Amino acid sequence: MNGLDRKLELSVNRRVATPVYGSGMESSIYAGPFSSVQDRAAAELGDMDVLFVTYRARIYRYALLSLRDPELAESLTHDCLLRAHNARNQFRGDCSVATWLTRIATNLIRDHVRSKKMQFWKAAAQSSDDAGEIADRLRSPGLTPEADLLMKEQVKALWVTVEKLSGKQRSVFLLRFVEELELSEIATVMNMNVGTVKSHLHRALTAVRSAMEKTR
Amino acid sequence: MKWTHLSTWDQEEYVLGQRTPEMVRHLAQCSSCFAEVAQMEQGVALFRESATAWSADSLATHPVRMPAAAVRPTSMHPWAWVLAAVLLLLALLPFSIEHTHLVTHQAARMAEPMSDDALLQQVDEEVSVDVPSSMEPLTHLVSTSNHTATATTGEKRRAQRD
Repeated sequence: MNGLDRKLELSVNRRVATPVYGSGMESSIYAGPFSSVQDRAAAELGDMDVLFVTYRARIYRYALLSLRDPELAESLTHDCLLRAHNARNQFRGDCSVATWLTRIATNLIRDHVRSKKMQFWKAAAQSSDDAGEIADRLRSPGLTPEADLLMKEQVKALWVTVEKLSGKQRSVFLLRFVEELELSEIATVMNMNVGTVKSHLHRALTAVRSAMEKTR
Repeated sequence: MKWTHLSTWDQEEYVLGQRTPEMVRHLAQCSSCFAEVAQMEQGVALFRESATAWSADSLATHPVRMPAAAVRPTSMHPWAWVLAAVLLLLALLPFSIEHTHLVTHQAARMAEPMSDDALLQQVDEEVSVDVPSSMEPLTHLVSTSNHTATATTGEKRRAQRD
């Protein structure tokens, strides 16, 4: 492996190797004393406090990015965790607790959007402003003012691009590149086959590539 | 040597994590394809970082609020509820027993048959009466007419003597 390849590999793997605090990727406080994954899952789902502490940030982030409404995201997160806790006997253990929770959240988001019959990702103009605010939050120590400005323009363009994706493409994109689920997990969450998941992801990546080229 | 760049699909497959040794080998040698892939990865990484930062900031502004079913600051163990119920029953038991006893006693008194002595005494009283109670009005009539007849006879005898 030469230096260029190693650099590429590192750039790809860095995001996986460094979990962000509050991202939901922290190890569960139940890691260790249980004899099997199933026991650990049952313990997590059976204790609402543990469920809340372990998965709140993750489900909240997914709901927030899907709905772009903090209050609604908070409410949906509570609803999701409560439903999972109450329906814990239905958890068969054929996927992780995180995947199961994400599936519940996805269904809740879909039901909410359907019931309201409105587009949560707002009109392009307003979303562009939101995207600007989101870009401004990004900390970029060590960058020159020009590079910082370029980066924020790219972030803004990316948010507008993701906003323009179809609902399913956006969900799949978020699940893969923010929640970092495997393709098979996304297929489980979205109740679609892996081929369809890949198709959505390719379209989303094409849009991302286009957005990045425009701001280059 | 024929040089074939990675297709757009292959580049996206690489970003999706569906990598083959040929892709890795080609990217190690082709700066053009490497730049394409790196740009996509940079876009994805920027989006993820901004999303994570926004979510973390938003979450930080929301006070931690446990779901309603999970808030159990004064929750009691199920056995504690059972114990409390048993104690309550035990506390109410004496009242219940006393009440039951009173009711039973009254019912028994109501249903108790008249004793033999009382019956005999009642019969004795009724037998010892000169005139039955149903005949009492007639006795008054008889005594009044006798008194009148006696008086009339005496007056006649006095008049004859005079």
